[in-house]
Amino acid sequence: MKDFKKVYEKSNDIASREIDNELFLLPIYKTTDDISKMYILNETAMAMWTLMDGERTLQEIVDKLCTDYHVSRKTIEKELQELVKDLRSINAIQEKSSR
Amino acid sequence: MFNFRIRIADKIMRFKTNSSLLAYNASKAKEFRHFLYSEKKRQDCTFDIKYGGIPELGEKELLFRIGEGWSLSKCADKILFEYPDRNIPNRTAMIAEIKSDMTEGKIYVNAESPSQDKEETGRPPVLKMTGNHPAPILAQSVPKHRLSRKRTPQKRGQEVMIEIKANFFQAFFVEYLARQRVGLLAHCASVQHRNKLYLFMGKKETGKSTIAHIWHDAVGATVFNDDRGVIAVKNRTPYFYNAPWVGTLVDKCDLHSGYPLKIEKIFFIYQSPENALRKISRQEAIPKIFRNSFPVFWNKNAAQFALGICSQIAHTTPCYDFGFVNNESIVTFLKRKLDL
Repeated sequence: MKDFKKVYEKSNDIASREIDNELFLLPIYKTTDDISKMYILNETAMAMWTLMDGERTLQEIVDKLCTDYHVSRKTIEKELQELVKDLRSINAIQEKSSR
Repeated sequence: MFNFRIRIADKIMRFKTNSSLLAYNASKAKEFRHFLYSEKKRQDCTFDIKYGGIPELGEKELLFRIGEGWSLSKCADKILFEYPDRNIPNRTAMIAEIKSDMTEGKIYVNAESPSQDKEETGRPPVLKMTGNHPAPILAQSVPKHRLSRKRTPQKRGQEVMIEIKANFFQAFFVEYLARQRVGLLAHCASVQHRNKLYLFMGKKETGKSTIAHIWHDAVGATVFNDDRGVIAVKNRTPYFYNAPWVGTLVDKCDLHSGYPLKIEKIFFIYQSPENALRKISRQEAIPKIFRNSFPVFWNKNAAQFALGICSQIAHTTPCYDFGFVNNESIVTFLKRKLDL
């Protein structure tokens, strides 16, 4: 799939902190109009987030997770797509370039 | 030049001003009076309040804006808090220019000085404090005859003090707490019963003052503050420091600034048809503490620090969702449920 060739990197405008196998994300805001929520990633989503390093394609992330977790490739692909959509909606990640 | 120092969360802020009225107003406000600090040798940051207009301060980069209210910008190695005039469109009422290490700054007020006591009376003001506060809390205060006189500059002086207290000082303090990694200012009523401190957290009009009032009247609990306070962590122990921003119970609050108090439990309050209590997990508590505090949304390091404080407090302190009814039954309910 075309989307899986994309590379994402974390935005500089997000604060994060790992707490008890979950990752708390806090977007940095410039006006009170923007302020909405704190976001929490579960263990799987946190693993995906960690791998979005501005180097790996989404396909490479799927491959890595398939070897690390006992979860079907299809499930990982679906969850990664959903996570990318959610993270982009809060500007937590940005597309770097396609390889 | 008149000086006064304010201590909150063991940080001492010194204000310098040429207005004795401004200094007097600082001492007169009950909630602030207990935070005035008499030791002259110590200060963590100093502000020079200057009247008569606002200078050109160079190119600014906007960091954060509160709706139509104050804004925070970066200007060279300084940060600027800017406040619009509420009465005159497109006019700046005040700018605070602070060094990025938060050790000193200037507050430019776009108005004439509220008083010229020295020139008018031909002598400097004399220290004259009343009340039961044990120590002299201002280096100097206004002459006695000023206390009952009504005149236009006094009104302006009060307005300026209110602006500084309500707008500049709180905004600055939130930034200061985060940059100095002290703690977070939080929306909470702080109630001490049998030497244990409980925080009731909730935003505006959720019932903090109501709960504090009931505890005060029903069992004589000590209410330190019914609206705000600083939450901090020292040696993995969560602490509360009082703050001079008070709700409606100013006359019942035991305001002080001198010492931290260990936080025993935290209740996230909401109004309910019947009393209800639920212990919540650490993961649930972290965002609730965060939402009920004043984190610095615009600064990544400070936001990460805020997440850390919330996490440490949630880790060490039992936290509960507390639905309450507006009567004395809440006291017996909590005492029975938690053996308070």
